[in-house]
Amino acid sequence: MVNVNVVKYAVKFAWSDILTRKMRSTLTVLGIAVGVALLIALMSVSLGMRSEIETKLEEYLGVGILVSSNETLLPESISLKILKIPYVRDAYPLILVFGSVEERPAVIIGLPPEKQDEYLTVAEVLEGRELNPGDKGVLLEEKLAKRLNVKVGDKVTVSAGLAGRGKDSYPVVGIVKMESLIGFGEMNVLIMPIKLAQDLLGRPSYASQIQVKVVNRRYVDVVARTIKKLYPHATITTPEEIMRRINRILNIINTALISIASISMIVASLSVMNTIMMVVRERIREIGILKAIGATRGHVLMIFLSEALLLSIMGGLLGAFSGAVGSYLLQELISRLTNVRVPPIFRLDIIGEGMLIALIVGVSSGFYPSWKGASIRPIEALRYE
Amino acid sequence: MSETPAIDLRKVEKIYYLGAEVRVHALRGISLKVYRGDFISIMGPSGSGKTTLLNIMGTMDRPTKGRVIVDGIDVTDMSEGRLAVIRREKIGFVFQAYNLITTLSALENVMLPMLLTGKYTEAEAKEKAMLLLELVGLEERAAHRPRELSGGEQQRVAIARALANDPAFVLMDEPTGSLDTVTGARVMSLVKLLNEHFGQTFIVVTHNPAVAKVAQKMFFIRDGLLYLSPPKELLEFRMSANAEDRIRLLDIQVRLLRNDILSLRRRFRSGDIPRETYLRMKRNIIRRLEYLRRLTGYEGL
Ligand SMILES: Nc1ncnc2c1ncn2[C@@H]1O[C@H](COP(=O)(O)OP(=O)(O)OP(=O)(O)O)[C@@H](O)[C@H]1O
Ligand SMILES: [Mg+2]
Repeated sequence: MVNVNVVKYAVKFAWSDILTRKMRSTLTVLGIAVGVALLIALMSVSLGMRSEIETKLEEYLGVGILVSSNETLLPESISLKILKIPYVRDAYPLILVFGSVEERPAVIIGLPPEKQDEYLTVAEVLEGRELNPGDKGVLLEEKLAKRLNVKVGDKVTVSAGLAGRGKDSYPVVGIVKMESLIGFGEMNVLIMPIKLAQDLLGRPSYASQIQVKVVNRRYVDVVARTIKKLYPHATITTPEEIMRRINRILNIINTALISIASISMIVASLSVMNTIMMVVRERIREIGILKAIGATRGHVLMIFLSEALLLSIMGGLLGAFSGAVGSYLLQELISRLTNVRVPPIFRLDIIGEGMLIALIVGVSSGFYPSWKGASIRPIEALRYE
Repeated sequence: MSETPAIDLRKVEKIYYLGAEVRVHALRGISLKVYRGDFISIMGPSGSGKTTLLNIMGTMDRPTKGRVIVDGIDVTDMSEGRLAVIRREKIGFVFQAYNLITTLSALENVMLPMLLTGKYTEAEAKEKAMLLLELVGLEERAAHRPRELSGGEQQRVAIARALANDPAFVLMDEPTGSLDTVTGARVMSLVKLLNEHFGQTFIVVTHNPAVAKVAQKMFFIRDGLLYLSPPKELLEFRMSANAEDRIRLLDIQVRLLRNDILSLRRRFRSGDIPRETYLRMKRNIIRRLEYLRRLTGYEGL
């Protein structure tokens, strides 16, 4: 029963109404656009944030598992046993402790020299060289070196562990730039062979954690379970686990952002409702005439809903466009405030969703006043001058 | 007559309920048959029930009692949706003013009822609408918006639109009410022409005798009742039906006149007003008394 010609007239009717009430239409369109833009910008940025975190985490852990323990000491020999578990590609011990370098607080990383590239992803050796197996020297992260004004060949005093115990000086063999070490961000970092770190702490063959690499992501859970069986006291952290925790936080942030956008959508919806209510009031006499010449409630409804729909389409398009621009502005703001650059992610489905929400909100909030208008009895409508 | 009337009203009554107690008996049992080709007018003063009757004939309103049969179809209890179809296909409307959709051109206004039926393509509707506009002498104004047309032109477009779906009858409520006499006469002669040459059925309600006389047949409506000849013009004040009311009003008038006479005499005696003024005002009062005497036939005044 859809009559194409009548639809065409309804749209024409609605469109000329929009044109005759430019100010009101513009305000309504803006109302919708603001809501949609907010929604799109916030969704894009939050999506970008999530994906950024995911990549960083991936880089850091790879297809890896972290085995650590608070209570028991982990003997570094565990790594040899873990190596024998099926699907394990690599396992090596690590020491990660807080200490100080020349009285400045720093993170001290002890690792087997042959694993330094894999673990640290040393981007560049700025001065000197990397660690060699059996080395007695240390690497300094460039910012720390600059702060201490230290060059290759100088000696630095490092202390770690409980009060006073474990203090020694080592020659600096290299100054390096590191990449994407999440968690270390602005901290001072010193890297030494694990052997040296064990000596410094006075705990031979100690490791604070074991890095485990698995041949394929699919086996992470299986391997994690096997390790748990072997060492029930150990804390086992998988990338999925970390991601889950981060996701929980991100979801909270997301909910907050979406609530903000929703409030602006509610405002938009009220504005559409008000506009259609005014349109209906202005057109009561014409509703009477339309009904007199045989228009049904459905026909009249179509006219007013077309207007709500047209307003929503315009608001949606404008909102999608300004949402795209807005998310770059938001990214800029975030990076100014936090020093983290989160490239927003534009996906057609986000923009599509924004549009869809605009249409649904527009048409549904236009529905009630339209229905009221379409249901006015013809004689009442005609009596209205 | 075996022919199906275009509209057949059977003992139609309409009561408006305004409150628990207050009701207006707008139509008190009207029976009327109008056949295809007829051109009738229904004349009556304001408040006599013309618009109420027309709305019921046009299926825009329902009678409180009685039946309404349009072109052989009993529409009295039809659903709103089906009534819309009846209006679309069987009835044309022309109101006093503001008949047209302001956002559409004259042509589009005439096309709209055809498009609503879904029986015409846009091209067909356009062609027929152009012919109808030509019929009412407005083919040159096809593209104009209602705002750009004179009142008479708007009414002619409305007539063209009313004819769009070849209705069984066209209803007109005070179609010349917003026009000057000459323009009104021109519109009515168009209606007469359409009736005589195309056999189009028209039903016109008006309080204007000049408009009513154009029709082939005149009816008269008073207080919700239809008459074939003008009901004996009753004395004006008798319009208020209640006898007690009448006596009360009369009493007040007599007292007012007596007051006037007494104060006039007092002012003349005190030299407040000259003799000529006194005589002129006295004549006025006597004239008013004479009028009351004639109205009531009461000689004691
Ligand atoms: N919706 C309504 N509610 C209550 N009373 C009504 C309503 N419509 C009309 N009436 C009353 O019914 C009576 C007839 O009214 P109607 O409008 O039919 O008169 P009319 O002959 O068309 O008058 P006019 O020449 O002034 O248009 C009047 O007394 C009027 O007050
Ligand atoms: Mg009337």
